[in-house]
Amino acid sequence: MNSHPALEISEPVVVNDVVSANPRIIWWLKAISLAISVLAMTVGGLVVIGGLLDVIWLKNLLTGQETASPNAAIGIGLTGVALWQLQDQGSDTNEVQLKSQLWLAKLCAIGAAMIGMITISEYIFDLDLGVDHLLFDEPQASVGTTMMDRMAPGTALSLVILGGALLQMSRRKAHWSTQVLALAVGWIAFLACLGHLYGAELLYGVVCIGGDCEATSNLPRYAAVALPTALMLGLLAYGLLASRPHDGLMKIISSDSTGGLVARRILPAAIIFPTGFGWLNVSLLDTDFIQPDLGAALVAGIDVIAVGGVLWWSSWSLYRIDVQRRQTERELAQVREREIEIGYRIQRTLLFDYPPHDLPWARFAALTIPSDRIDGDFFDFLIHTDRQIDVILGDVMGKGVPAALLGAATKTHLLRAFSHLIAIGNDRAALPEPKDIITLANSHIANELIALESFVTVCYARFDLDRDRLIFVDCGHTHTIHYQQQSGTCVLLSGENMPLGLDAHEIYTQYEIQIMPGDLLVFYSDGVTEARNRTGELFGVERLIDLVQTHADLDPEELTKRLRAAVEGFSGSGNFADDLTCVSVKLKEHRLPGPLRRAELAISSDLKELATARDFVEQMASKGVLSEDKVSSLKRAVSEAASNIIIHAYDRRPDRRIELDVEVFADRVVVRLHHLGMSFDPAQVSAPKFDGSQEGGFGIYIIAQSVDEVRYYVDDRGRNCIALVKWADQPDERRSHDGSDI
Amino acid sequence: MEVTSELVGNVHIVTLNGELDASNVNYFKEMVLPLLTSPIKLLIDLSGIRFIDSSGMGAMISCQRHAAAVGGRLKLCGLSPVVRAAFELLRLQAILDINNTREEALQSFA
Repeated sequence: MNSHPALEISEPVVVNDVVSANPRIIWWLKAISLAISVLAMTVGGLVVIGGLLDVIWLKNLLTGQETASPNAAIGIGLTGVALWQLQDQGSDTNEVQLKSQLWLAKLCAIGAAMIGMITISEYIFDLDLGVDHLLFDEPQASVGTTMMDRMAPGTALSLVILGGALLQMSRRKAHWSTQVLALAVGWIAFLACLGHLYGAELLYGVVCIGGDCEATSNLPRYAAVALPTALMLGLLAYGLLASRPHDGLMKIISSDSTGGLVARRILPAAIIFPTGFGWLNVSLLDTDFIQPDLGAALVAGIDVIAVGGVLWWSSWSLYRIDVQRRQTERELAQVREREIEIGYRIQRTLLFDYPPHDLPWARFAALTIPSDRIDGDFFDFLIHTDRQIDVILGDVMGKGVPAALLGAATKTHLLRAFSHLIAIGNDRAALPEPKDIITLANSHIANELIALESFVTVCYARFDLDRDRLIFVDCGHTHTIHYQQQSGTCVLLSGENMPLGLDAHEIYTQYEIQIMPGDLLVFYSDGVTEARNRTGELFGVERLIDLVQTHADLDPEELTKRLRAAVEGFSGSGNFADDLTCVSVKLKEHRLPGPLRRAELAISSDLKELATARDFVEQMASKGVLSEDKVSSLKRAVSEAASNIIIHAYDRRPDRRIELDVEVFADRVVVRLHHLGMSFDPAQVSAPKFDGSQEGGFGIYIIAQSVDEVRYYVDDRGRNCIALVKWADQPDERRSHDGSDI
Repeated sequence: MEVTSELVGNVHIVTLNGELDASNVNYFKEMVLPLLTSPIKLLIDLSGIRFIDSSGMGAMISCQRHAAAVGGRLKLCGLSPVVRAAFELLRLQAILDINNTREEALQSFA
């Protein structure tokens, strides 16, 4: 036997992933086990020495009577040695030492079991093999029977079982069978102790000395398991259990789990209370002090209180632990909720781009409703020149924070691919082709996406106003709707490219179509078309096309609102199964003449500067284009807007900046006020009352009344902007101008 | 903006010159509102005002309310077309006693 199985098995100390053993309890259990093994060796050794030197009190250490059972002493000693050798000493013992320890343990275990076995066979076959006198050759004449020196059958059986258990333990480091055997011994020993305690002789054997044998008539004449022997056996059983505190039945007791806590509290009570009350009951019966029935009733009554108390105590601990656990769970849920909330805000404020508002040739609007509040849809606007803009709309497979992170990563890689292509291109002024950007970005991220089992559908569209062209790469995305004003029909723009993240070597192709002023392009995620109503029907592309066709003349902002209302109305709620994103672009006449003149002015956010702003606007606007009273109205609106910015957006801090620009066209004047203060929503301001009860809050109303168009938005540099337009003609006289031009 | 006040007979006349906006409306209120702690006759002459914003008009409403609270009387006069246009936006002609000229106003006080 060169390789020992025990050497190969190395059990982890952690009971499982979440519950670990309590190190203090483990230390105590191991120490107790070691102490018991040493005690057993000492007692066994002392009895043997006592026998050899004929020291009576030593000889009878285990029996406590005149009878001496040297074999039992040897058996107990051997068991102690085996247990000592089998103590779990950790990993610092070397292999050779460990092997020899195991051999010694095995020999001792076999020895103890043999002694027990031989004794039992002597009882069964009524033999006297003389083993009982091998050590102490005493005539024992006074007793007259050899049986009295033979160990009791209970002791013998216990030795056999203990030997077997130790043998098993030396073969397999930790096995439940060892502990079951140890428990069996413990039970035998416990019964014997109970017998002694209650005076029930049958439980430990019958002491039959000399002539008394006849008196006890037909009871078997066995030697008794003496109390010290029973105690020693019980301790050994306990030592055996305690030597492997991480395994089997002891796993629960030594663990720091709630189960361990309860077990450590209730198990001792389960042993002590019945024993104690049973003894009380027997003692009361023995005395004539109380009536037997009354005594039993009283004992039962106290028993109920004691057991109930222990159970309540344990339940109280469980209750407290449970309350604590639920609190922790709730806190964790709150933390998670907060993280989602923060993620959502980050996505809203930093990951979603604002659609451009300052382009003369198109109006943009974007809408996004995440299903799980934070989502995997994304869009981006790359403004290369006044007349070249890329719109990117993507949808990551999946939802929640991982999808949002992938969306952000995809955006980053698209931009990286873009700048990389510019850097390596021959002509720094030429924009990289959309197909090359997508192909390069895909080659960067495809393998990572495959590993993450996700993919991204993208529509990359470039508006090239110099050529009136839309160049697009469709990567498995929903088909963009192109409303053509000339024919009044919708066309679906579809390519045949794969989504990003399926094949790193994919070469993407791009398509080109003609676009005209008045055309409308609607980019959307499948959350729109795959919204379902209560019967499970899909919203579908047809409904979307109908909607676009019906409302093609509307401002994109308004169209987007209608679209949202339509999808919500269809699905019957504002909560969708998938993220819902839509970007619409309405093209306008882009060959209109530019401004006649343009000027910019920066003022500090001091109310004293209001006059400066008014003078600047008056100076710019009053040269011919607008009538005098229209210039006054425009000035009034500018003054109100600037003072709102100072008072509300900048909270009256005078050290900030407001940037104004004025563009004077042949037929109108446009004033924009940019600021970096808090954005404010004019819709939140309630309509003013004109009954004299209100002294302030008229600003928004005055602005709206004083100019023809007002728009609040975030510009492409991230500044909050208020744009004001005053036309030279009355609004109803300029139908032909096709909308505003902010 | 300049604020001057004089007493003609039993009528207090406050004359404003310049532009009345959020930057100086508090100054105007500090000058005028203390007068309206007793039941006086007050005339605000706006003929020198080239521009008034919403806070300026709010101050006029405030004066009217103070005057009404102490049993005084408030009249305004001399509105330029620009100021009148602004007043009409907030329908102030309905709640304020507006006269064309100072003389007209003084006569109507009598």
